[in-house]
Amino acid sequence: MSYSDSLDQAITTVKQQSILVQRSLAQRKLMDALRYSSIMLTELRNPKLLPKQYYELYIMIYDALTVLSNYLFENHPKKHHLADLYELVQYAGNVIPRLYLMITVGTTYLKCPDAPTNEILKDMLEMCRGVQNPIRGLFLRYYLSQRTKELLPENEVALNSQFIITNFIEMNKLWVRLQHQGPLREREQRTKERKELQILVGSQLVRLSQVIDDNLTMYKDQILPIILEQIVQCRDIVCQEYLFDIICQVFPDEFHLNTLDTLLETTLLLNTDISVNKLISTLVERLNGYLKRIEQQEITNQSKVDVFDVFWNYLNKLNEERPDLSISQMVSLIEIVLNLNLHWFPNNFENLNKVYELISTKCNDFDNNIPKETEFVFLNILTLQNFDFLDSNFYFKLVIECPAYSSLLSSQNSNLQTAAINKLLDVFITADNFVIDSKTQLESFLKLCEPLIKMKLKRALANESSPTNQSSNHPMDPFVVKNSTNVGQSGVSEEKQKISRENIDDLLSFDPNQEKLSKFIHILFNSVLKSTTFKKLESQVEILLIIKNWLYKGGKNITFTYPSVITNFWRLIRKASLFMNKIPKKKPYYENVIKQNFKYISRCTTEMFNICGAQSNDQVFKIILQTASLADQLEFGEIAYDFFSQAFTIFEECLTDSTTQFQELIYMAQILQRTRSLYKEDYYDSLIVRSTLHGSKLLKKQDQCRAVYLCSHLWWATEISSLGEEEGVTEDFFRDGKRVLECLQRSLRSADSIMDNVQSCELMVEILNRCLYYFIHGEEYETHVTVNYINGLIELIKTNLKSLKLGEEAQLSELRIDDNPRNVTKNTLVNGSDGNYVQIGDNNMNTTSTVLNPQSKLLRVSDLIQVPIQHFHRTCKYIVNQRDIDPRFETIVV
Amino acid sequence: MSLFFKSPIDIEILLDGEESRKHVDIPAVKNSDTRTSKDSFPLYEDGESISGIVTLRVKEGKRLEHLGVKVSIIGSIDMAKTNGSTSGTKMSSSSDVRKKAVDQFLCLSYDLCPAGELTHSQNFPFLFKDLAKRYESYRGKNVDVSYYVKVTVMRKTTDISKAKKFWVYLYNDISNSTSEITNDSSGKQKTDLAEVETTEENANKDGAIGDGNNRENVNEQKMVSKSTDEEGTSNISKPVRLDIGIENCLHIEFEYGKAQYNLKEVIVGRIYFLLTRLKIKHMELSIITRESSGLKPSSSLIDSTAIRFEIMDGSPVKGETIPIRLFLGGYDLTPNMSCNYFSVKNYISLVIIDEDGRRYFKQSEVVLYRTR
Amino acid sequence: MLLLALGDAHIPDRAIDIPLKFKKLLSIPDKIAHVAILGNSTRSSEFLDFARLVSSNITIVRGELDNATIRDVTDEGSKAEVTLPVNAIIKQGQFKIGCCSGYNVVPKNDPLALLALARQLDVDILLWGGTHNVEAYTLEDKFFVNPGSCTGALTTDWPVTSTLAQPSSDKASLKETEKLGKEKEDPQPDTSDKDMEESEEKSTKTGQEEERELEEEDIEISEFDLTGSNVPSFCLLDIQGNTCTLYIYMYIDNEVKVDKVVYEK
Repeated sequence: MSYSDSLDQAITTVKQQSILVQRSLAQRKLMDALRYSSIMLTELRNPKLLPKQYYELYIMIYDALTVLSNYLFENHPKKHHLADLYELVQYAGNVIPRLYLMITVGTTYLKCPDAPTNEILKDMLEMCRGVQNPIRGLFLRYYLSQRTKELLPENEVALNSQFIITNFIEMNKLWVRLQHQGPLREREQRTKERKELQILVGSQLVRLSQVIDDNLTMYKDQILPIILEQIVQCRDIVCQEYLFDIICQVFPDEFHLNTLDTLLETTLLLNTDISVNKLISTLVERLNGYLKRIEQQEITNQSKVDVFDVFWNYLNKLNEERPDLSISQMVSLIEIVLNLNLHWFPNNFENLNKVYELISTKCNDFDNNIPKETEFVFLNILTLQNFDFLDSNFYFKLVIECPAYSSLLSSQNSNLQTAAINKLLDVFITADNFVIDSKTQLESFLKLCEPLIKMKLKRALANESSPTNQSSNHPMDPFVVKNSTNVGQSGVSEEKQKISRENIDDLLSFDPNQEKLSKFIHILFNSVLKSTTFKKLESQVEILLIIKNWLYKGGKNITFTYPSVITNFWRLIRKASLFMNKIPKKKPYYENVIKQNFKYISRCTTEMFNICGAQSNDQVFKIILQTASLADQLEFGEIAYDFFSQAFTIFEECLTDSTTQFQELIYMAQILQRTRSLYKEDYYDSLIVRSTLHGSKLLKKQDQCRAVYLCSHLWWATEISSLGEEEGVTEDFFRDGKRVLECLQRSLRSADSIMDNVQSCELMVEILNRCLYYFIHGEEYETHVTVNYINGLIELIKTNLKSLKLGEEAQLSELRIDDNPRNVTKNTLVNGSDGNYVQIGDNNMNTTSTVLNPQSKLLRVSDLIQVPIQHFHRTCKYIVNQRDIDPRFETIVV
Repeated sequence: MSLFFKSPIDIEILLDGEESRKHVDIPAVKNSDTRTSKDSFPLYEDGESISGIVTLRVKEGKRLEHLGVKVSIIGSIDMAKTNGSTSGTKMSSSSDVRKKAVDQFLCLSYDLCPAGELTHSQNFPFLFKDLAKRYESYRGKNVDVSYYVKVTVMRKTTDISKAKKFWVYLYNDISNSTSEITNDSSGKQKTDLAEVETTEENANKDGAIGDGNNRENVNEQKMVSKSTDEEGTSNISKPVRLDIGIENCLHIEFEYGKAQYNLKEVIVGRIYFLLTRLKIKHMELSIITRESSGLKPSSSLIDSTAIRFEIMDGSPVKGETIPIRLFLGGYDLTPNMSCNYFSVKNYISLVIIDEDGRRYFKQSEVVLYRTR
Repeated sequence: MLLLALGDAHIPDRAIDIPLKFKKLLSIPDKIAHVAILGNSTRSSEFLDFARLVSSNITIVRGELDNATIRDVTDEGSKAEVTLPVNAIIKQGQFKIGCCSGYNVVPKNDPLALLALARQLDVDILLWGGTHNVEAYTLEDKFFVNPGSCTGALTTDWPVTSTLAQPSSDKASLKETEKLGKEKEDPQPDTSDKDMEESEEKSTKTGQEEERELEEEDIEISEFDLTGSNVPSFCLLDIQGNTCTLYIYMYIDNEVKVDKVVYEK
């Protein structure tokens, strides 16, 4: 008998024959039915079918044979005896139809109570050997398995499992053999086909698992060794990987727990090309899943211990027996065991330490030569980032209780170290619920951070090697030059001023690692504060000093990290001051503590100043001023004065560019203006005079002018509400109107002497506004800023503006010859508080202003002169408006 | 002749209990294309008496003078006239050829009535008591063994006769048949272990297939002779084991239960693969019946495949064992027989077909005999 | 159109991050059109990255602890640096919004000084920072908004409230500013009455405590005592034509509280 040429044809044949079988059975013509069945089964002889096509036919035929089987059962033994039929069907000339029919009859016979069950089972199994073609054999044996399901004799576990195992072994052989059939170039195709067929083989183990149920002894002693032997012997990768996986999946957790060593042992015997990791990983996943499944139940600690130990022994054995494993493979494996331990014994840091030790040893074996592509494994091992159930407390203990962890970390390359530490710090930063109880613990953490602390910043190095034009005393804002080169094409709305990194000193740009470190310093210190060991303020100071000293190792990096330390000193100082106020008896003690802390801050700033170079001067200057401010608030006038002096020293000795100088001076004035405890010993007086003097000596006249009118406020204290001061109520504000006026006059002189009319006018309007400030603030006798003075100033401004307008017209006529006729909207340009022009883009897309240096070539005179004019108009309008509230304004002539 | 002259008398031979007697269906010789047509004969065995009634019917109103009526039992070996060739085409034509009796090994007769005149229909019972039948009935390609009862009405002119065929089975006991085999098989020695069978289906294949692979294996001969030696003794149920192979290509062990089977038995055995470099497509087991006839110089051999039975699909690997189970009972097989004029022998033939369509086979003689 | 005003993050020097609840509130892409950062927030690239996620339109002014230049936040991955201006102006709807960190305003936090700056910059709304105290008031038809510190970072300036003040008092002061904003009357935004009472309270308390023997452990210190700052806060300005609705977000006791003030030009 022959089969169809195509699948479609085969399907048609099967359908037809299947109908004929049913019809014959309806007419009780069994012989016909068998004959049609045989024709139908002939289609399964077709060697050209792909597994999926074969399966399609198989399913159809299976259903048709079920109909036959039912008929056979119902009519036995009235119309026929199944024993006879069992022989009869064996006359079929072809082996495949014969065996399918035989199994159909044989399994039907099994349903009958008087059947010689064991003999039939044995016979069917044996006869199936006649099919040696892998695909056809697999399906035939699958058919046998499907048909015998539910029919295996009850309470004969040993027999049944033997039956299934035998069938499984044969199926596995066929399946493995498929790989070696056909031409070599179709190898991959074969592998693909095998994967499509693997479920047939795997299903046998599922059956086996059902049959042996919970009979652990049998599984352990009889079943598993046989299965594993098959797996080992076939030496086939696809098979070994798949079946190992299936074993892990289909048998109960308890079985695995009790046969772990056998399973692991087996992996050592498999094909060396196999990924042991995959197998172990599957097993571990299974065991970890077990934990979840029995979450409610109690697990005895005993069984828990075993799991890790078994794997641990296995790792060591593997390490000895498989020197061929690469470090990547080995470390990945260890990672899997790590995974196991983390799930089973998340609090066993002893185990963890062992694991990390092993990795370290392994690294040493490979001379710490870790391939690039393996780094992520190390990162995983060091950060455990895949285990989302681990909390910061776990990591805390990891650092504290696993010395091997730290030493492994420190032996990695710097990139890896940095990445790992970063991840760790992220954990600690987001969940700071741990407590550091001892200095040793603290040191562990600082040691952990050491690579970050000492990290050499590439940019900083680059800077040292090539001196840049960014040295501190550059006479002009360097950006201006740069900016003016960009000018040209597109008119007024310009892009932001950008400076390429190569040309400027960008050490000050913040480094993400140092940022993290800085954040961590807060966390670290806070977790020390939580500890009862460090309840005393004094011990807290000591801890902070330890941290500071570690950070000192970072060299220039302290520019990033010291501010965090200083912040904490500030906090300690405030705390000490609170204690001082509440425990009056110990006032001297706390005074001393506070003084000490200020000294520590001073040491910090000095170190920053000495080590970090000119780039940090501005920062140091401001920290010193802020510390001075704090000292003043706590009524440590002398200390405050000392810090102010330090600030002056920096200001005077380290020349920076004029913009910075101007801003620094203003900031100094702002801080000084709010001091309250420097009045003794004329500290305040000397400081404000000194700063005003500096203001008047600034490089640019417009800076001088602004600095001096702002310094006028130093003689006119204003309320600090948190001190309970209130304008009009508080009597004893430090105020000296004469000096205020002097400053304003000095400022006006500077403004007047400026050659640039526009700037001169603008500054005068600004001074006018300052005058109005004082005018509101007090009576003329107090402020010395009189109506006459104001009116005079207004006159002066008006005159100057007039001449400015005249000049403008002349200039405009000149300009219009060659300039772009498009006129710029008037109100888009103003002068900022630092003298730079602020320009608002007039298209709606760009809503943010651009800052332009007064020298910028983008500015056009016609636009510029509008700045003081408009500012003056606004000021006048303000004066007029004020008349409603304050009648004194009536006297000001606008 | 009878077409032209209607016979004046009807002879009817009715065997005793014929209706209830077991019959044997034998494919009709004539019209070989219509396979379904069968002849059915009553069955007798050796030593069984044959009795019956002969009815002579004279046409109404007629009378027939005769010289006597005689009843005979005849057993004869008939052979086709053709010589030699065993080629397939000739074979088919030869079946149409009339076979001529070469030996009448049995001829017993006696008179049922003396010469006289028959005027009305008359019955004559007859009986051949405990009749010995030397050969089994056989209808082969070149040779037939036939038995019949013949009634002859002798006349001055042409005799009128009628024959009735019956069929004979000989139920042998084992020792009987073994002796036959030893005698016959000793004469021949098979030399080819496995050879390419250029049958119809692959006759167009290149001739080169035939050589090279088909080397004789010394072991094989030994095996056969060993088994024949043992057959002489009483140990007939000892398995037959054949160690066969193609050098560096195939090595199998072919084993089956015994060298002699009765026709209702099951051949059980196995094939053990020791080496398979061959890409096997499937493997078959056949029973081949070989009829040899004629005298030595011009004797002819005709093989016919009585059973073709696939026992394996696909290509096994080393170490694989393939079971063999062949029920003989369902087939019409011819037991071994032999006489001076012809012999019938049976062979188990193992055929391996590889993926390129080449066929390798190994034949091994098996004795089939009939039991009750 | 929504404008986010943030300031004084002081990450990482003084604070670790803005409250998670703030982050979640702000992490809605394409909702906020513009971010104004009012100083002392550029030492954290993480924070700037976060700001960029909120909106790609970012205006930053320089605070006293900011560097003169920073990496260009509007252009991710760029190596370019931009100069941080002291003042910036954002034009939105009918409003011009001035930004300054406040560290160049003398006297610090002085409404009249700020008014003068607003006049100089010709803006309707002035956003300023540097005080770590959220405030909003109207003065001379101009709207002044200080979003406070988005982290509640330590300030070295005088504490925002007296050392014994309860955080709840901030709420009260805000209510007052809200009222001020609507009525546009009182030019004095200060909440001095409240502070006065509290400082009195403080002095009486310290008086009583002198009699008892206290140890460090007995003294409860609130975070505000150490930082001198107000709670973390930021502001969101919803600008529609000539109306600016100000939402003030504060982080009090692990909850986000919102207040609303409306300003019309």
